[in-house]
Formats: sequence, structure tokens, C-alpha cells
Amino acid sequence: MENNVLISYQSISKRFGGVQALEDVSFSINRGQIHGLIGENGAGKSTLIKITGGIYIRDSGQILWEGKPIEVRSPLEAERYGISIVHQEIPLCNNLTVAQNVFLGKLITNRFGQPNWNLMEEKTLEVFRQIGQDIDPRAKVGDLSVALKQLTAIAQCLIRKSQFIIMDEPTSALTPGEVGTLFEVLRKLKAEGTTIMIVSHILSEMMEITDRITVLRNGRHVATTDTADTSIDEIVHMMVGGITLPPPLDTSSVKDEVVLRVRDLSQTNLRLKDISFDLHKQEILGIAGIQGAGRTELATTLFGVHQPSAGTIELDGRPVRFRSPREAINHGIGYLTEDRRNLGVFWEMSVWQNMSSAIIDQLTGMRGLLDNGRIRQTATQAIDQLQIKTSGIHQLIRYLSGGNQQKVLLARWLNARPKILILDEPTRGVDVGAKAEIRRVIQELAAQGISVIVISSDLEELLAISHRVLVMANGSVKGEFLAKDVSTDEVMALAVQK
Amino acid sequence: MHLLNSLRSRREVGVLGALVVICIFFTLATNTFLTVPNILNILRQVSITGLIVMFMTMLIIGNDIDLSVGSNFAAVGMIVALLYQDGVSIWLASLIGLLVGGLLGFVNGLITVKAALPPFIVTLGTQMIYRGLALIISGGAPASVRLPAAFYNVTGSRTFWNLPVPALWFIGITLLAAFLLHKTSYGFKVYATGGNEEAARLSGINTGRIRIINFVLVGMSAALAGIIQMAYLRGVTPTAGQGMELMAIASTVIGGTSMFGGVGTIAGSFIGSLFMGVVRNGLVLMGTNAYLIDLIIGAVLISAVWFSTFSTRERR
Repeated sequence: MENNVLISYQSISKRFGGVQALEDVSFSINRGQIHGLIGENGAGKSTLIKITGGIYIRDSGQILWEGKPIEVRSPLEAERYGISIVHQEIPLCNNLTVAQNVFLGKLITNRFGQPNWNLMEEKTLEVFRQIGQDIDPRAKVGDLSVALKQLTAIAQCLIRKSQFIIMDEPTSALTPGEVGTLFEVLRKLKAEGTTIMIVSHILSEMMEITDRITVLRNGRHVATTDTADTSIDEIVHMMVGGITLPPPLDTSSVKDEVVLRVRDLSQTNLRLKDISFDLHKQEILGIAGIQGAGRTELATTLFGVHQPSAGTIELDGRPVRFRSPREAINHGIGYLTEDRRNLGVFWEMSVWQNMSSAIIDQLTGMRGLLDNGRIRQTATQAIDQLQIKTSGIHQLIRYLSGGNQQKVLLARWLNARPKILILDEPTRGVDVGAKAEIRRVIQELAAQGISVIVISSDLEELLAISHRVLVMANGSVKGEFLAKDVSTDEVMALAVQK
Repeated sequence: MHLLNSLRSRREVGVLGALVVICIFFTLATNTFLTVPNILNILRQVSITGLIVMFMTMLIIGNDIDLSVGSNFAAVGMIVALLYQDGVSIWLASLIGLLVGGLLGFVNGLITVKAALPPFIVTLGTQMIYRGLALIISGGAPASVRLPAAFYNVTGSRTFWNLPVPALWFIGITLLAAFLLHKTSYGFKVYATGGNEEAARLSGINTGRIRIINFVLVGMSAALAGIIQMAYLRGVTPTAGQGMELMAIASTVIGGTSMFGGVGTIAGSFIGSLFMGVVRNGLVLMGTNAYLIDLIIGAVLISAVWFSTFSTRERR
């Protein structure tokens, strides 16, 4: 067996400031297998990947490559060993073609240094055929779907003759059909002897595609086992160490009182058409739909980012028209964005600053002077309430894991004490444990008298946490159900209709 | 230990180190560098541009830039001098000058924000427009003024214990800017706007207003610098302040402010201003060929920024 091992981690440790990201992690990956790396956000998966790819340097421990210790100090060195990472946000040049991207940095040129595009386009086609796919090598990458961008990135790895490809959350932005295609490609690569490590939260997929699985928790290695020898339940248990989900929702707490009444709302540019619904006090209203159904557009229109072109919005029985998010916030509406990376986080700012951006004027004393006592108190309270893992309120948010960043943004809106809170994909890219916690918080909020609108693409989750569900498609509301009376299949059938 | 770590991660500490090193070098290389008159002299030399640096820092943290400050500086100096020559009280003329400076900044901000144009382009244009304004109203000729002692004493002179008044203004404005940027909600909003404008907007921050106010502040600081310089020199030329915007930006960047917005401190920019002054002053004291000085300062600028980012770059 020993000569089957491609890469072996031995007692890897890594620390960032006050956070121990990895502690004494040891396991090995066999050649020609698909290896799953599983763990909650903050478990240390990303850190381990980055150490493997030479983006971070480990503090201690050893990496053995084919039995010999190696030092990978930069992505370029990683490439020399044949190690490639396909990141979650795929770093391709959108302005260049598929072939140009595939051969980026590896241009084939003639004697005079001119790139030979015809040859490269041919070779691109060849590589795509090798993985059983067809593509136009002259298509601009910016025009491609996420799935095709991912395949382009994989083609890049193949051109570089990678032996070990690491994929970080490859399926999170794919449709079920695209996931199937990706898995076919991965199986082909495996058959040709490439070793693959996949990081994912979606356990059913991991069970389907991987040969072996490693579970990390809080920076420590929990187990490495053959996939065939374990089950989803067992893995969940290893990941979270036993968290119980809250009981199903009790709809009796929802009040008759309508806090938000939307009638015939249209927004021509965003293709929202004749949307009508009510939101009750203490209600959790789910909005289901596929990408492009207009859910985020509806949310941002309610939040004052866009102006409705027709229709009315009534708050507590009074018609309102918000010209900016500030006005919406002043009227007690909060909006947690779906795009945490670009529209949510202030990357250069600390935990407390990210929590305070919506209420900064309330954290001041005389003449706009910041009140440090209140700032500390507010932030500490939110960190306790949401169990955010951080070394302190002054920690820069970018050193937190994705799940904890999301909790900080949630805290931003809890601090604003809204009457209506709109949560757009609150659990996207968040692990099982954080999901359960966010779900708990949403129910607590409703119990405290807040009305919540939740947008989620995870139908099972949506039906589990909502009292009532709206189904949107093509910019309109297609149906409305009590969550306990409807199945995911019924909702999905409405969501995909034309 | 914790304090040490938090210090290490601050970029202005890097440039402070560079400043100390270069001061030691000049102290050893010359007899005159480390003397009270020379230190005061450096403070005065950096003070005029330094007044602008502080609000340029705020503007750059908000992810904007203003290339028109040098022209604003000359135009306001000229307006105040001409008003005074026409018999307007120097106090009133100065007040008008400050308002005009603010207005010129407001125009920059308004066009940048409302027309959604890159501030680099807008202020490159107004740099020429405001310079043209200074040339037109003066007919291209310098203006000299004989200021009343009461005004001169609080702007251009040397006063208490022989301290140059412009340097006192510089220190006062630095403290004011530090207070505004680091202690108030306004400052918070500047960082938020510069760090992620969309996220700031979704947090209910009126980012357009913040950016315009930043432009007004930097415009007023350029006007203040123009008035103090006019008083100090007892006159003004319509071509004054050329290249001043680049000196102000250089001091800001040396002090650790990121050109991408969201990062920087007033303390860093204060040190950055001193750094630029110390290098020029020290080179002159060493008797360096005048033609060489700019060349050396350029090289030092790059090295200082490299040193300060290198020494504090995230250890991975």
C-alpha cells in the first residue's frame, strides 16, 4: 500500500494571530483516487489547501510527496510538482478566449515569439475531448457559464500536466445537470491516473464521487476513511460533534397583523411584474425560485436600492417609497446581501467595524464622536449571541472563516434592530453547524417580534425554516403555500415553469 | 506582545522606522541637521503641502483623488491677494478664499459623483481649468501684498519661541484631521466608502455625500495653504503650486495609505510629510547637486514605500 501514497501530511500546524487554523493534522492521499476533504467553515480546509498550493507556509510539520519531504513556498513551486488548485472563484481572464486562458503563461510560440493560436486552439479542443467535453476555443471566457469556466480551469491544469488537482467547492455554483457533467470529467481524470482532492459541503455529492474522505474539525484531523465504509449521518456527526437542530416551526406564533403589504409591484428594468404579497408580524416568509427568478431584485427593490416603476409598498398600513437603503433602514428594514464577498464585507475593516456599519450614527456621542464603550458592548454582545469565532472585536474580518464572516454580517443587521429583516441566501457557502445556528437565530428573531423574509435556493432548508413560502419565476410570484403543506417537488415544479 | 504584534501590522510604523534611520544618517553626515533651527525649518517647509496632505489622505482613503489642489492653491492665493489689493479687508478676503477653495472642491466632487466619472480624469481637467482661472484673473502677473501685522502674525510669521506659524497650522490641521478621521462616525464612513462603496451604500451610508464632502475638505485645505503661503511670501504667482498634488499624494502613500482606498492613517501621512521634507533638507545640507536631488527623492520614495509594505506584509 505504501507506494500507493501520493501525498502525505504529517503533523501540519498553522496559526493566524490568535487563531489556531490547523493543529497536528496528519493523513495521506492515495494516487489515482478522488479524496474528499470535509469540515465546517473554520475547520481548516482552506488553510490546508493553501499550504499544499504554496500560498501559505506551514508553521510546523512535513509534507511528503511520493515519500520524500518537499517544501512548497509559492504557487509556482507547487506547479513544478504538478499540484494545481481550482479555486472557488475561478481566476480566469474574462476578456480572453478559452484557448488563451488555457494556455495562459504557457503560450506556444514560433521562432519569432509569435503565439500560434491555431495550434493552441486545436490543443484546447483536444484536452476538452480528453475529458469528454465540447467547446468553442474562441469563445470569450466572460460569456461562459460557471460550469464551463470550471472546465476551462481544469483544462489549464491538464495542459500543465498536473498530477494532483485540488478543487475547492466545485459544485456550489452549478446546476444538478452541470454537477453530473463535472463528475463524469473527474471520473475520466481519475481513470487516467490523476489524483484529485475535493472540498465540499454537500455530503451527498461527496458520498457519490469520492473514494476516501477526511474530516477536519476546529483545525484538527477527526478521521480519514474509505467512503464505502461510512455514511452521511456518521460524517455529519464527525463534522459537528453532535448538534441538535431546533424543533419544527410552530405557525401559531404568527400574528394576523400585516407589517408589509406589497401590491402589484413592478420594476421594468429588473423584470419584476405585478408582485403582491403580505408579510405578517413574527412571520418567516420564504421566497423560493431558481437563479434569475427575480428574488434578489425583489429584495433590493423593497430595500430602496431600486425604485419600483409601478405598484405600492405599505409598511404598517402606510404607503412608503424609499429612495435609498438609508431610508429603508430608518423605517426598520434590514437586508443581508447574497453576495457577501462583493456587497457585504469591508475587507480592510475589523469585526466590530463590519458589525457597526449600519448603525454607526447611533454609536456616537456628542458631535459624531464615536463612543468606544458602546461599540465594545454592542460588538461583544453580538459575538456572544451568534457564537462568532474571533480573537476579538478588533480582529480583521478577513481572517475569519466564511461562516463566521456571515455571522458578522448578520450581526450588522441584528444591531440595527429591524422590524423586517430580509435575508438573501443566509446559509450559502456555510457549513452544517453554522447553518443550524443561523436557522436558530432566524427563529429566535421571529419569536422576538421581527418579521423575516428568507430567500434560499436550498428548498429543503427553506421549507424547514419558513412559515409560508412564495414561489417566484420570471419576475412574478407563481404560488404561495404554507410551508408545512407543501413538498419540495411541488415548489420546484412551479419554480421552473415558464 | 499583543501590542507589538498590532504595531508590526501597522504600515506607518514601517515608515517611522525609515524616517528614524534617515534622520540618524543625516545627523552623522552633517553638523547642522540635528539642530533646533533646522528642525523648525523642515517643519515649515513641509507645512504648506502638509496642510493639503491630511485631507488628501482622507480623500484617498475614500478611494478618490484630487489632482487640482495645486491649481486651487494658486487660484485662491491670487483671488485673496487681488481682493485685498482692491481694498477688501484681508480677513474677509481670506474667508472668501476659503469658500472659493471649498467650492472648487465641491465642483470636483459633484462631477465625479453625479456624472460617475473617474476622479483622476475630472481633476486632471479641473487642474487645467483652475490654473487657467488663476492666470486669467491675474493676467499672468504675480501679485504682491503688504499685509497688516495682525494678519501676518497668525499666518506667515515666526512667533512664540520662534516657531514658524505655518508649522503650527500644519500641526493643528493634522490634529483636526486625525480627530475627524479616527474618532468620528464621519471618519468611519470614509473608510467604509473607500473599502467597499456598494457595501457601504447597502449599510445605509450616503457614499456620494461622503465623497463630495471629502472633495470640499481637500479644496478648503488647498485654499488655506494658498492663503498661508501668500502671507508667508507676501505675494503670490499664478503658476505657484505646480506639482504640489503629486508631492501631497507621495507623502500620503509613503505614510501607508493605499491607493485602492479603505486603508491609511493621519499619523502615517504626518510621518510621510516629514519624511519627504527631511530627505530634501538633508540632501541640501550635504551639499548635494541640485539637479540630483529630485532623482534621489524619487528613488527614496519608491524604497520607502517598498520598505514599509515589505516590513509589514502579511507573514504567511
